[in-house]
Amino acid sequence: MIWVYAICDLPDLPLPRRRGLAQAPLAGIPEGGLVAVVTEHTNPPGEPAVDALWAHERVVERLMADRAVLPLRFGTKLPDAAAMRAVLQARAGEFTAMLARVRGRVEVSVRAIGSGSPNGAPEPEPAAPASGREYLLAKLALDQRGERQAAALHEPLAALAVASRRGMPQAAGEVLRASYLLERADLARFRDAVARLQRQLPETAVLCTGPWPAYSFVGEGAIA
Amino acid sequence: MTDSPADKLLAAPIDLDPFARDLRRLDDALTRRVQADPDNVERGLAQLVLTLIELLRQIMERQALRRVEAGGLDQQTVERLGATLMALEARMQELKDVFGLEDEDLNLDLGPLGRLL
Repeated sequence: MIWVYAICDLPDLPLPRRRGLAQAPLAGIPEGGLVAVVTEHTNPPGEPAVDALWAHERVVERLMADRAVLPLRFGTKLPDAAAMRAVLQARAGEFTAMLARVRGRVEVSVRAIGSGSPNGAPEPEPAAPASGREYLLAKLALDQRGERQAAALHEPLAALAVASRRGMPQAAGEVLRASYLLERADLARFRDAVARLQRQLPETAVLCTGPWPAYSFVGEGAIA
Repeated sequence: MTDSPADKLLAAPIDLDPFARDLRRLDDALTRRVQADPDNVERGLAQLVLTLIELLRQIMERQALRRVEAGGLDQQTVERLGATLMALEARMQELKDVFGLEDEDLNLDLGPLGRLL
């Protein structure tokens, strides 16, 4: 069984000597202008534990240091090298286009959670609506307020990015969950913009992480 | 190059707690099972059924809000829709109280669509 970390360009460039999951040495499976970077295992090595996730992540990031990389989700496995080559062959055009899109770029993730009020106190419960109409209008106003808060953050950040993606909120009070694809050189500028927005929006807690491999910008199509 | 998760914080609020709550939930998701031992089976089943009802209720509410937003509904229809949804929400709250369930117990991970609640 092989565990796949990433699909890269430059198949002739030697792989880093870094080890992958379960301390297995990295191997390349070249096909045309592409190479898949994998480790071989008899037993599947990857329980989704924090250490394993970081081991996978470090391999992908090390590869990003000197080549364009399509990062694969933790847990991508194929039966053998022949199956990997078949995928590379069948989807060469798609992978090459995606590599061009992410080359020299990184992903940054932003999440924002509204704290209700500047001092962190919970918001007062709204009065019980008196009619069906009021109930719906109150819900609508809440929706629109959330969208305004999201846009106040998202729009200036998206303007600094090559591409951006907004996800659906996944936690109570979550205002924004978004990923931005940036030129690596624009990272500092983006971080400054986040800090500025955080000062402007004290009632919203903004968490910005990265730089990540461009996980959110390499298509939805799973390879295995 | 990442050596530890902390290197990945580009900007963070002083209080990380709201985000940490989210991580705990992720933990729960990895270990979560419907509670189906004999003593708990009623509550487990109620949780399952109420989760589905809550999903439907939310879909109806979303749909109603879209229609109100788009305009074109007469006053009476808006009132009737709102009153129905309000009554449903109140009834759900009662049922949650009866079975000792919190909002979070009725949450569903809808994958790319996000979380139900």
